[in-house]
Amino acid sequence: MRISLAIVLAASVVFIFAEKIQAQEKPTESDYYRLEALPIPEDAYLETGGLEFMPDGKLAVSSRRGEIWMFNDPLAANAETVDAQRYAHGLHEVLGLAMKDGWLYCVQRGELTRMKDQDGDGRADLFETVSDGWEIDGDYHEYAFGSRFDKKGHLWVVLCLTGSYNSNSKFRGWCLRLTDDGEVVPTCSGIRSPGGIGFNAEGDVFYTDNQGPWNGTCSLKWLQPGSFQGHPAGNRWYDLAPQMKRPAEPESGSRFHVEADRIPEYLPAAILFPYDKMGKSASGVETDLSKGKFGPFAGQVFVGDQSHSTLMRCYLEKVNGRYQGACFMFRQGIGSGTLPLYMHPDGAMFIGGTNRGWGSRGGKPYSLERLTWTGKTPFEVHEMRATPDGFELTFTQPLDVETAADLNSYKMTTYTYIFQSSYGSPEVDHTTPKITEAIVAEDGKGVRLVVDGLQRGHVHELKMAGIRSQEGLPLLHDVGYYTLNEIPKDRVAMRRSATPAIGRAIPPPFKTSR
Amino acid sequence: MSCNASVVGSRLTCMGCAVLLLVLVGRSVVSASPHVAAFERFYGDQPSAEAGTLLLGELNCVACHHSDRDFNVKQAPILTEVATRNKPTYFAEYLADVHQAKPGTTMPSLFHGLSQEVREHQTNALAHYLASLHPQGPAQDYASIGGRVRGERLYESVGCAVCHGSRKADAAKLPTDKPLGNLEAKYTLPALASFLADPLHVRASGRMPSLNLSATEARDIAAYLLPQVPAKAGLIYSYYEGSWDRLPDFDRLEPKATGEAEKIDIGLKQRGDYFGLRFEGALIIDNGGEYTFHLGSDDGSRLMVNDQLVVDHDGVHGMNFKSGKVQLQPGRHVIVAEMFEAAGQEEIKLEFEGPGVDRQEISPFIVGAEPETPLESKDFQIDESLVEEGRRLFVSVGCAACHELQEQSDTKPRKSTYSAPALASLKTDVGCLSDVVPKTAADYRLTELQRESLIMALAATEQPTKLTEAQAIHQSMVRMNCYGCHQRDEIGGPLAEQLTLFQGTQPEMGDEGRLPPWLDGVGGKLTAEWLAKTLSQGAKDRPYMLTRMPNFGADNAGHLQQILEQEDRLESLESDFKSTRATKIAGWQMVGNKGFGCIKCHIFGRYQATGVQSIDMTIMSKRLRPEWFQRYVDTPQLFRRGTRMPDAWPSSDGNSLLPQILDGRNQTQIAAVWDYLKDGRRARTPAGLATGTLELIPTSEAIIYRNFIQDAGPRAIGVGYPEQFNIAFDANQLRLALAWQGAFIDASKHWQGRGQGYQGPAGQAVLKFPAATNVAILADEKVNWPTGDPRESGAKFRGYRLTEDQRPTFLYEIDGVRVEDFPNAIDSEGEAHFVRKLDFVSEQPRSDVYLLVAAGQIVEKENGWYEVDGLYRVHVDGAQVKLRQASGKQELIVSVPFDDNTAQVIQRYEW
Repeated sequence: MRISLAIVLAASVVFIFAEKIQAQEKPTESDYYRLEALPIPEDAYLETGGLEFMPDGKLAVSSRRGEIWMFNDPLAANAETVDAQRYAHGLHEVLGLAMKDGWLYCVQRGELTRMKDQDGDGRADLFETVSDGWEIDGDYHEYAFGSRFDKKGHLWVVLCLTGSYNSNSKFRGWCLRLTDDGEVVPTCSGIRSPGGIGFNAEGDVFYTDNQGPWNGTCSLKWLQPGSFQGHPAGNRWYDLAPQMKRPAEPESGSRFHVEADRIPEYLPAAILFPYDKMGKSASGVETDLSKGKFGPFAGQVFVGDQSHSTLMRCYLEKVNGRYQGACFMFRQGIGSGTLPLYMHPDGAMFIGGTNRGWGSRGGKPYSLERLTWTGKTPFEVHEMRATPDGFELTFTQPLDVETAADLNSYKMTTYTYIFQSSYGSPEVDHTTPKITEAIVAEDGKGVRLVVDGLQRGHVHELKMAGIRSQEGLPLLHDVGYYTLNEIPKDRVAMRRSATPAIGRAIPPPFKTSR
Repeated sequence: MSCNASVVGSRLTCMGCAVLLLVLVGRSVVSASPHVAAFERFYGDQPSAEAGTLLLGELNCVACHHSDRDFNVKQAPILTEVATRNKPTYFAEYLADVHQAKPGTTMPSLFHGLSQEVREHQTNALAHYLASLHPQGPAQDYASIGGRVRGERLYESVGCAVCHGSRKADAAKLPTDKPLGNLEAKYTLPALASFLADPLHVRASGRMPSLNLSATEARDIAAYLLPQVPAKAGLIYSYYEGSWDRLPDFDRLEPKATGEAEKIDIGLKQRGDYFGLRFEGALIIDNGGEYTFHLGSDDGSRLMVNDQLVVDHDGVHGMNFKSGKVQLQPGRHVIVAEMFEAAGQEEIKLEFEGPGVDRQEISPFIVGAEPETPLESKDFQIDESLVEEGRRLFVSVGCAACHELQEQSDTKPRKSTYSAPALASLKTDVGCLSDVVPKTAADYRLTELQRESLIMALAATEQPTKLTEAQAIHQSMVRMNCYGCHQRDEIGGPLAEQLTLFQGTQPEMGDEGRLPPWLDGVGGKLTAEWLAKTLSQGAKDRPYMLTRMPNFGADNAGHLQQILEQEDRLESLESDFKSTRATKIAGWQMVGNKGFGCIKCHIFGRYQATGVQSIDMTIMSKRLRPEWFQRYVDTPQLFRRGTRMPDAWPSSDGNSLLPQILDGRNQTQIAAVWDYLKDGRRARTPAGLATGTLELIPTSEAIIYRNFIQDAGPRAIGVGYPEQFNIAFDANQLRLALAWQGAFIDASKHWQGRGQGYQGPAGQAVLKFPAATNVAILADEKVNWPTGDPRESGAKFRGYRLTEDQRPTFLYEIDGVRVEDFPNAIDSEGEAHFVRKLDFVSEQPRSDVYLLVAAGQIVEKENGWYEVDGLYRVHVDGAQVKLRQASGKQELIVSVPFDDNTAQVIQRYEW
């Protein structure tokens, strides 16, 4: 009798719980973020390389085949009505667009160029070479990715190596800053194979680098001027950068944090994207500057993955003067391989795609899409911060206190990658730290985890499958990966982020049909 | 740690040995004592019974000292055909002092105890006996012109240098390098080539394995190793002059010149127009089959192979290729190529391809007629009186104990009458192993370490217990020096000093693309058939790796297949997978570009991959065991650390990233891919492989194409005009680089796949302009035209402006002078012209600005026109033209005439 009662009780709990979820219909990413394809004209083979807004409200889209197309009214309520005209052609694989003083700047493989439509017929007719301070020589790998302009008016380029291993042309494996008058400021070395470059809310510059030699997995790296990013092939050009100090050679087979302690210029990745778990080809970098129009993640950094056709979300914080943080899956199902990103301050994220040369889960050869917030707030980890004894998490929705305080709701493992000259690395040095306490914050929207066995230099993979929101929902994405380069000495009081500063120029206001 | 422990113990210490080797590097290591690479590498520090056991086999002690134990001995060279192989003068020289004549030889001296007189008499008798087996001696031949260079490349890359050491001047000399001795004294070129092509025929035990060289490759390496053999061009040419519009019958004409030619080209012409050339030579074919010959010429040409017309490319035309196919048997084939030139540009090129030969120029492969007179006089007369004594000595002194020799093909090998005590009853203090080798014993010149090791091995009287599989594998890998290239269980692999010897064709693959694979678990990886084939025939499964897996011979390495299989066995994974039409389609889909994109990096039969070119997918199911494949693709990094093979099925919950394919489970999908691959070459070609051309066709507007363009640099700006003229501007060199007619460009190289390399023009009549900046500042008109990168002297490319129909005006700046450079195609009254207008602006008038109009062979024609290289004509408006001689060639330059602060020069082109 008692047994059957227990079963009935248990069954009814399950039933009620299931009903609760069903009432909401099992939430998916598209309930919160709507992905719409912009129609691409039939004569445009738009393997998208760069995105920028023009002062007249058009979206400029560059392609790997060297064209630039202008999309009219890209914020239109109905994406299907957006049309486009070709603005320029004949350029060399444009992977970066930026607007300044009426000029559209584009980063081609071999130079920074600015263009203008002088006669007003909708097509650029003047192309000026602004800087050609680096070299190329027939190697497909020698890509150049360009940022937008920073607050000082510099445009940053990151230059892929010759192949994965060598730097056969000038400044391959470097980040350069370029000024309007063509001045070239060597800024960082150690780059391998970038997939994108962008600013965080504070205006610091980040790029993504890809798994390969000296990169055990893909990552987001901070381009702190003067730093060395880990791949030594480009160091042969230090003679051309007399104001910078050449770092010691990294030791192959070592670990990121070990070499960071030994080589002061070496800046380990701020965030590692565990290989295959969080994509295989990290790409575009963009920050949510919409002040809430894109949902609850204002100020956070978004990173694409070309291979998995995804968008990931990064929470960055500074510990001991260096950036580190956590990444989470954000949105899957991009049409082709995610490459450039552009966040409009009105809350629309534009996403370009291509899969030529490298396969992608999104099966289209190219794509151009718009991602917008539906107004519904997903149940997600909002921020994940390191503390001296564990991590502090905040959430976008009030927590169910019981599951959030239950240690069984969490599972943590740590690992890292070999810092080596050969290609990639398996996950190595696995540990399983013990979560000893889970203390729910007074406002019910945060949890402090006390962890025994934090591992410096490791990714801390935190699975939170057991947590429920007050409404009974599981997390939309229940795994976070925190790259713990540094363990903070002092605990910072749990706080909400301040309204982010604006890192880059914002397009002037314009009329839209929305 | 020491090396004299058990087999397993030595595994632990091999790293220590490697460290020791580093210390030895740099020292010259040519020594008279027997050289055994594995001994040097693994047992170089202190004596051990294990090392002694290795030497018992490698020195073939049991040939004289009978034993029932199996030492997997290294058999001495078979001497049956020795006199067809070695020079007769070599035998006496070698036998007089084997250790001096061939340092490192494992052959002992048998005559050291005799008086000099008797010793000379006996070795002479043996020499005359051996020489008498083939009195005419080995034939000599010339090396081909390109052979030595190819031979060096092969020697340094296919694997020779791993065992014998790099022969490059700056290469480290390692203790493990097996010395080659004085090859020039020993071999003629054809004899060494024939040995290299099949070393197992002579050295049956596989210590010198076969690299499966083709006859040409073997000849090339022989040419490289025998630098004193003269090289000779194989081609005979005849040069004619006359005016034709079709090929004449050259046989009826008197040549103006004849002689030897190094290659088939127009370098032998004596004037620019109205001439003919005929080339004749022989091509040696290694593999029978269909060969394709590509004959390119301007004007007409034809190719005969063995008097049969293979390519008919006659008539007046511009440079282009025409191809013909012919079936050829292995052997020598006579090639005759003829061409004539009327007026204008001239060229001839002959390329070929066939089984095992990629398309390439034919000239370096052409060999001459065999020499009619011997290349070197033979200072050797056989003394019949000595022959019979030598014949007796051969069996009595012990030669026949080690060396197999059949005097006639139907006679038995000669039997040794030399007797020595059995191995088990050897006294180590009286024979070969005593402190001072007695007169009656064989003198190996053993080092102290070798001697002590041998004594310890003989002292280990007990019959060794049966080796475990791991031990047996290790022992064989030591003996055959597999460890020179391969690592297994953390032993062996390339030495640090030798890493540069291992090369690949694809730098992008990193070490994985150039270093031979680790052999951990190989017996569980390769199918029994494939492993047996690899061990007994060699392999070339990795198209990107230059080092070859040699053929060690089934008798020598074949046993490894079974023990590797037993040692490395993997359990089959349980599966209820059933092959159906749907699973085949799913497998096809996953491999292609809409699935996991395997084709992006793996060759599929005749289709190249779009990225790196990794192992052919159509041989995988023959090569790999399914149980290994399943595990490998599931977790590639575990099986091949550092591999670029991505993990396509990463999830730990078994759910695939492509949930819509089959049941969405990892294991089902992996099984379906395997099932699809099982069809090998019959499998349906994966989607995404066949690609076409992408020709850019200007119609109403110009088309601009900025990319890597051949002969126009990495920052080339190609322009196709609707008038069927095209140009390429070089933005690095600030010059008009190319102009051509007809089709503009094929963008498929850069717009499909990743876009590696340079693309040339698609059209015809391509003009290549001087590789120098077009505008320069000169102190006066006698100063040499500057070479090098104009940006380094402050010149700047500033971009371009477009007309409404997209025609560019290039903008650049040199020393404050702004140049606007507008090349254009103009259609006037149905006739197209090509005109280049240059406008100059300077702050003040200048007289030091010069324009380079043309360089090359320049002839002044009527009305101010100049003909350049017989290819095109150019006219300059608005300025005085100066034809000058500078640095050995003619240049047409213009001093830019500033009127106030501007100037204009117009160049018109015709071709």
